[in-house]
Amino acid sequence: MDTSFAEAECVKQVLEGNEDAFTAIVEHFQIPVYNLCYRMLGTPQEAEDAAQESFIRAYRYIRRYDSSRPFATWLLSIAAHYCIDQQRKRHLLSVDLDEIMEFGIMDDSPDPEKVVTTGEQNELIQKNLAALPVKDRMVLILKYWYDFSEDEISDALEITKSAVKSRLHRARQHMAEQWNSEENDISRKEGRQHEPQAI
Amino acid sequence: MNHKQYEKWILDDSPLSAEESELLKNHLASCSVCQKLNEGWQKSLQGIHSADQHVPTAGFTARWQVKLQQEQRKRTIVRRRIIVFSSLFFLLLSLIAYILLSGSFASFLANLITLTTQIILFITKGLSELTMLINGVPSIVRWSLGIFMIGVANMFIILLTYIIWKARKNHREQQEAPAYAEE
Repeated sequence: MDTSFAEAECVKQVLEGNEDAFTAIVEHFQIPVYNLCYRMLGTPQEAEDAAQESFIRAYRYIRRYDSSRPFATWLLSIAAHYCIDQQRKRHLLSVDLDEIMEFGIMDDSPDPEKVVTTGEQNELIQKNLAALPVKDRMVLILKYWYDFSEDEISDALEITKSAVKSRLHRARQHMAEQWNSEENDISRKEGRQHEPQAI
Repeated sequence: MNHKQYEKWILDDSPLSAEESELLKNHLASCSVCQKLNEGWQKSLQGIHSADQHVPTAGFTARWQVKLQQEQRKRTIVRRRIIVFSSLFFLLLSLIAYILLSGSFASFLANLITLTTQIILFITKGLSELTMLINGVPSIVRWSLGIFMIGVANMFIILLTYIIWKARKNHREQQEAPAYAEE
């Protein structure tokens, strides 16, 4: 994110009633907010809706923003909470577990074998992320995509620092195991391909 | 050493001392489970670092401005409804207070019924006088007026249908979702 952006000035102008100043904030932060929502929700449409709603909420509650904290942290924490809520609602609607496991993968997604061997790990990472519990996923995203410290994650998600640590540990373990499991699948497929065809 | 400790060293970010690094290295050489975990996490981390940033389609800010306007309109409507219902509730409370303070609920009820009856009688009388007036008018004028009134009524229905159709069309246009396809 561009640090030269005068967010404090923009926030001040919004508080004085200048709506256009918030438009500049949306323009500036749209990519990080959208990317966070996409990583959490897994589809462009849901990411768009969540990012739009996050900016609406930020605009509505801007008076609650504490100017001693970085604006980006505050804004991303709004998006994070919204995404977690959306995931919970999705859970309440009893979506099929298989669908949750695969929600990040589009119908035209490439074969996992091709993904790994060609170096296109993006889809595989998204799939593995999707398999994580909601809060573990959010902690991992804030840590590795947004370079949040453990204290910042704890502030943003309103959980204790030890909870952040244990969630991070669990998420990393899960990601590693998922990766290995994908590799095993690939090896099995390769093994099957090299077996002589039965006549 | 506890196997869990190695797992912690593999998965946590905390920097290791030279001695701890050596211990971990030796352990990884002999333990296939930890070796697999380490490989899996290092590859995942590499994947995370090389993952592309997802970006919204062009026009995100413009779509946000439209959404904000819709939200503000909705909030205005809700605020107006709250004011109307609060006023009605206040009126109801005032009425109850008046009834209680005036002392007699029965007299209030009697006055209310008398007033309603008088209003109904006034309307009935007015209608019968109107009928007498219409009967005094020549039939050709009555028929002409009747046909003219039917025409006006039809025009009114057509106009009302057009207004409703136009309002629904505008509403549908506002509700139409923007294009979401990414990249």
